[in-house]
Amino acid sequence: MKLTMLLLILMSMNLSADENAQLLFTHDTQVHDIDSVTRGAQAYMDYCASCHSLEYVRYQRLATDLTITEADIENNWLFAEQRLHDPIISMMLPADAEVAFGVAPPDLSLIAKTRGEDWLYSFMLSFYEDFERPLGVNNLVYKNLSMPHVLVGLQGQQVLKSEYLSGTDNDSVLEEKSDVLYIAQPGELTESEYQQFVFDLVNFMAYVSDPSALERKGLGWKVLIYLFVLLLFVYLLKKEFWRDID
Amino acid sequence: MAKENSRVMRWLNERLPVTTKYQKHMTRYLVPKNLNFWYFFGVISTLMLVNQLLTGSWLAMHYIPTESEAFASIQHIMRDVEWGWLLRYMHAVGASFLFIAIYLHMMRGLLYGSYRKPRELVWIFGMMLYMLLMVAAFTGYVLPWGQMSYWGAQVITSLFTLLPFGDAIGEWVRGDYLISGATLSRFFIIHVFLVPMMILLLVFLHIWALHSVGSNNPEGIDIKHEEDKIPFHPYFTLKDLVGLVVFLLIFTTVVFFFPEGGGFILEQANYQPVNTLNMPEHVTPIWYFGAFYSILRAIPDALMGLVAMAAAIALLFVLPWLDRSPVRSWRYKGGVSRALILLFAADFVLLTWLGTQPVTEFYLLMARLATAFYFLFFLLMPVYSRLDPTKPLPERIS
Repeated sequence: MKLTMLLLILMSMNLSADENAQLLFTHDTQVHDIDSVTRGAQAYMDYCASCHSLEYVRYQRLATDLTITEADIENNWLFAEQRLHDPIISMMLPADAEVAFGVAPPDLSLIAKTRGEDWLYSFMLSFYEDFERPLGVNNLVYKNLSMPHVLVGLQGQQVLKSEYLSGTDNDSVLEEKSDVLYIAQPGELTESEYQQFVFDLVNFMAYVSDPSALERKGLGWKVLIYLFVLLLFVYLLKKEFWRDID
Repeated sequence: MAKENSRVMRWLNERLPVTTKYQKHMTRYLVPKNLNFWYFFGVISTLMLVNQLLTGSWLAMHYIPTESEAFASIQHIMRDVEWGWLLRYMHAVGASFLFIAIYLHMMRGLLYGSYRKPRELVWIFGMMLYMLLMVAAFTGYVLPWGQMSYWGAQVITSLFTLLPFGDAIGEWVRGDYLISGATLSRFFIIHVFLVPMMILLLVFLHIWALHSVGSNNPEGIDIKHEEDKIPFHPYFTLKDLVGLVVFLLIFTTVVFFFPEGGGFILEQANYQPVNTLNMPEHVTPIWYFGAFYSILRAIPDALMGLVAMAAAIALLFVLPWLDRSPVRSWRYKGGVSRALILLFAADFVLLTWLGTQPVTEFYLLMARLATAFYFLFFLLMPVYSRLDPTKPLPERIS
C-alpha cells in the first residue's frame, strides 16, 4: 500500500492531539508473534529508549518472554550500573528533556492502552516536514508535537502537500482541501520495510502494555475446557437426582 | 459429611447445634420445586462476592495505598507478582459481573413479587446490600489512582457540597480540601474492611429473613401442598451448581479473553496516572452506576439532580408498599403491568448506557424521557397495580 496514495480529506477538520484525530491506519496487533515483538523490542532500544522510559518493564522480563537472551541484554542494552532486574529507565533526565523539548518525553509502558495501537501506528507514519515548528517536523495525528522524527533516517523525509480539488454538484461549486503525504527524499528503508518496522514496534508497545496477554489466552482455553467437562458431569448429576421430581 | 451419630459429630453437637442448623437450612429446608433460571442469581452473587473477597485479599497484600505508589503498585501486581495479572483481572471483571448478577437478582424480585409480604424485610436488607455494594465499588475504583479514579471521585464528592453544610461534609468525606492521599487511605480501609464487614453481616440477615418465611416462586402463590416443595439440599444445591458452572464459563471467558470489556470494565482513561491539572474531556462513572448518573445529569439544577438521584434509589426501598396488585407474580398481572415491567427493564438498561456516554442534545432528551418514565413507573404503581385486572391464580404450582 503506497503511503502516497493515502488521501486525507480534511474538510476543515482540525486534527488536534486528542480523540478527534482521524486515524489513517489500523494496526493488526499480534502480540503472539514473538519474532515481531522481539524486532520491535530491538527497534525500541535502538531508537526510543534514550528518551522514553518503560518504567514498569524490567529487562529480565524481555529475556523471559521474547527471543532475546540475558547475555544479549547485558551486553547491548544495559546502561552503566543497570542490572537485569532493573526497570527500563531512559538516561535522559526529565529536567534536561524539558529544557530541550519543552516537555519531558512520557513513559511509554501503557501507551498502547491509553492511545491504542491504531493511534500509535498512524502516529509513527504521519510525521512530515514543517519548517514553522522548532524541530522542523509536525505530525498529522498529534498536531504541534514536541518530539523530533527520530526515524526520519529510516523512513525518509515525508512532506505534506495540500491540494485543492474542486468540482460542481448541480449548481454549487464544491471545494475540498485534501492533504497528501509523500516521501520527498527516501530513507534507508523502503516504504513497506518502514511500515513493517513500525508494525513491529507497535506490536512491542502492545506487548509491553500487557505482558500477561502472552500466557492469558492459552491458559483461558484450558480453563474453559475444564469447565465444559465439569458442566457435563454436574449437569448429569443434577439430572440424576431430579429424576424423582416430576 | 460425617454421620450424625459419629463420635466427632456427637462431640460437636454437644457444643454447637451443627446438625440441627444444617437440617433446618439445607436438608429439611423446603423450597418450591418450580424455581427457574431467575433464581440462580442469588447464589451467583454470593459466588462473585467470595471472588471479590478472595482476589481482593491477595491484591491487598501487594497494593500500596499512597498517592505516590498506588498506580505503580498495580503495575507491579500486573507484571511482577506471580499470577498478579489474574488476580487483578478477576477482581475487576468480578466487580462488573457481581453487578450484573445483582441486577438480574433484583429483576427476579420485580418479576415475581419477591418483595411482597411477608418478604419486605428480605427486600430491604437486599437494598441495603445494594447501597453497600455501590460504596464498595466507588471506593474501590479510586484505589488504582488513575485519571478516572481521581476525577470520578472528584465529581461525585463535589455533589456533597450542594447539601447544607456541604463544604464541611465534603471535607469530612475526602479527609482534605480536595481529593488527595488522605482520601485514598480512608477509601482503602472503607473498601477493604468496613464495607465488606457490613456486607457479610447484611448477607447473613438477608438469608435469615428469607429462611424465616421461605422462598417465593414464579407463580407467586403460597404453596399449600407439601409435595410441591422439595429440600434445598440436594436438589437446589445441585441445580445451583449447574448454574454456577455456566456462569463461570462466561466469567472466565471474559477474564482470560476480554478482561477490559471493551473499555467498560477497565476504562481507557484509568491507564493514565492521576494528573490533577488535566481533567479528562468526559468524566463518566463505570457502567454499573450509569443509570443513577443519567438521572443526576438529566435534571438541569445540580441540587435537584442530586435529590432526584437519591429519590430514584429511595423509591426502590419502598417498592413493597407501592405494589398494590392482588397478585405477586407478573404472570398473573394485567397486560399494562406486564408491559410496564418490561419497559422499566429496558428503561434501566437505556439509562445505564446513557450514563456512560458524553452529553449530547439528543442523549440529554433521551435521558430526561427515560428518567420521567423511571419515576412514573414507581409513583403511579399504587394506582395501576390496583386497577389493572389480574388473571385467576392457580391452585397449585404445577
